[in-house]
Amino acid sequence: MPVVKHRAREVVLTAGLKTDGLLFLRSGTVEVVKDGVQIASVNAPGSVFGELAVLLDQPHMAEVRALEPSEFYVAESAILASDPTVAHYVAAILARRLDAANRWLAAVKRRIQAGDPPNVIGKAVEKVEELISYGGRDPTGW
Amino acid sequence: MPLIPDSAVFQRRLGALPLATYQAGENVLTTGSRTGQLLILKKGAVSISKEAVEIAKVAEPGAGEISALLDQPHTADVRALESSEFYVADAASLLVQDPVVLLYVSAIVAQRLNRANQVLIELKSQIHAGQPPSEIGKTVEKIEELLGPSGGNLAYAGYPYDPFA
Repeated sequence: MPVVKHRAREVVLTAGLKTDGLLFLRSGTVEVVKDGVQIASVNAPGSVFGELAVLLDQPHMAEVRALEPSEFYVAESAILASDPTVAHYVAAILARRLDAANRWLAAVKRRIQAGDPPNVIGKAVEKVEELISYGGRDPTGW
Repeated sequence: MPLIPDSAVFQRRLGALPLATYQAGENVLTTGSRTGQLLILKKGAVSISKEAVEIAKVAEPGAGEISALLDQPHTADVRALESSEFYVADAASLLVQDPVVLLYVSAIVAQRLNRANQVLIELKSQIHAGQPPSEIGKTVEKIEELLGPSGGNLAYAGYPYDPFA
């Protein structure tokens, strides 16, 4: 796959903008920003970005910005239909996120039931948001 | 051509798979079992329970909705509530080798994450506004429906199987 490089502070994906491609982090660190708030900082090689936009055919939900010089493998969305290995990698990431978000949501519920203060509940909600919003990587498959 | 095949293409693909029928009360999947099979509900209704407590019911899928039950060593039992038919596929070969099925399943998961994300915005503003726990709890349940096993599309949170496990 071709590689693109981004300098520190460069925007990699713009929220609200539609692009037709998947990005896999090769090296570097990026942040995921939603509504002006950082929801994740990512440096794990293999982390995927842009997959929800591609699968849902909609604009990106969050902004991705390089925190340091970062490199990505770039693939067109059609690779999901033509390369089972890539398709499987992305599917496994999605499903893992769904599963993890589900478990964190259970933690949110327990905290509400325990009468925890809003800031404690909010922390667990942030974790759910991180899992829902950004791709991450398949820890077993990269 | 759109990236995600429409459900008719997916249904045709499923049509080639063997069927398994379970009678009312029969166990479809048992906690801790692992057969490597992907079960896709064609007809009927099942109950998903965890430690003997029912956590979801999955009924006959509507148009474009597929209920997939994946057998991995997991913490839930699946029992037929009525006579139910499933397409049976080898999970490894179907999911790994068939991009059509894989894409379709991915799109369903992506839709659920996306809808959950929209409700999460509501949840955050409720917490921020200091709404009572009962109200916040209702919104959490909405998200739970989208993410959890009763999501109605891809039924069982046990997906994905771990191809590397």
